[in-house]
Amino acid sequence: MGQLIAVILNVMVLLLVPLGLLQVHTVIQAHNELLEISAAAAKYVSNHGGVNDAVVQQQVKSVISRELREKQFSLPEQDVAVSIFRTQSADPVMWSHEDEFLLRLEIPYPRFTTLLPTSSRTLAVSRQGTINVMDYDL
Amino acid sequence: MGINLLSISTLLFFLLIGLFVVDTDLAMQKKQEVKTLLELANHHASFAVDPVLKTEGVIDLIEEEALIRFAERVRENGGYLMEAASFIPATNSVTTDPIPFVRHYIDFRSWRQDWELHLRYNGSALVLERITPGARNQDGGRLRILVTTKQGEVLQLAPKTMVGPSHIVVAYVDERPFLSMLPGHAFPVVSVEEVKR
Repeated sequence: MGQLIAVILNVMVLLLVPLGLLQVHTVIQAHNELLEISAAAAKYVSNHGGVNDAVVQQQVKSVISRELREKQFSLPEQDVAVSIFRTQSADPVMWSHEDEFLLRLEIPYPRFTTLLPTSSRTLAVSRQGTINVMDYDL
Repeated sequence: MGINLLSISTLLFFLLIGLFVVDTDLAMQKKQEVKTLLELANHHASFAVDPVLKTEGVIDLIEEEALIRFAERVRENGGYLMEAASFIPATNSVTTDPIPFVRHYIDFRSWRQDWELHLRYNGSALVLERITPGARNQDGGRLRILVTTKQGEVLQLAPKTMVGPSHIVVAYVDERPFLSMLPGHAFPVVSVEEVKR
């Protein structure tokens, strides 16, 4: 009997370790993808500006969806919550030269298995950027 | 007894493989993220244009202000604090060891010329050893950056062609492995940004 319990415990521990490792791997991968798409989106906004908030928001979304598709990332597009706003602005509507913005992308905390508890419910990355556009670009 | 020995060795084997995978993941993340960090910060720094010279049609950078702007972004985007010639990581930063860096500005008089920057990493600091000018180039000079590592190996970073006065930042990431049996990660990262008009 004792033998049997020991074997069962052994197997459980044996399974738990690869499970934990895969969970860590999943989180790092998702974080990597998030870092990369947010960098691409921040760079895009930095170099393009935009005529108003809605246009910028739309552009960011399309950059993200393009990045996810082209790089064959595993993050589902609808899971990525985008928030972008200006922290410094010259014009109330137009996103123009030298304006600064904060981009924040958030996804539900990636999990490989629901067996293991996670420390947080979401994973987020934020990027602060500065816009560089000439007037004739708009 | 036999089964215990077997399961423990399987466990260790899984752990070992897992550690290698996670270590590789992290190394990739570090390289990409430090590069992004430098680019975003240098982009912001290159807005520190001298307003007086600008009215005379000359685009030039105020280096002190550029450095302040650079430090600002490195803190906001990566959590790093700038101290002397290093970025000190916070607990949530992508790297765990301080990152030494060197910055150099090629102004409006000299960007139409080729330049070669020789840097050396001595194990704790990154030093700009010498800067040698090359041929003049009306379309914008070519920039070659060479970094000598701790082991004496010379790494040549991808050459860049300047399109205006340029602010250059080179950082050297040298991370201790989180287990002594894993290899450490050491590599230079460079960002070149032309000064914004």
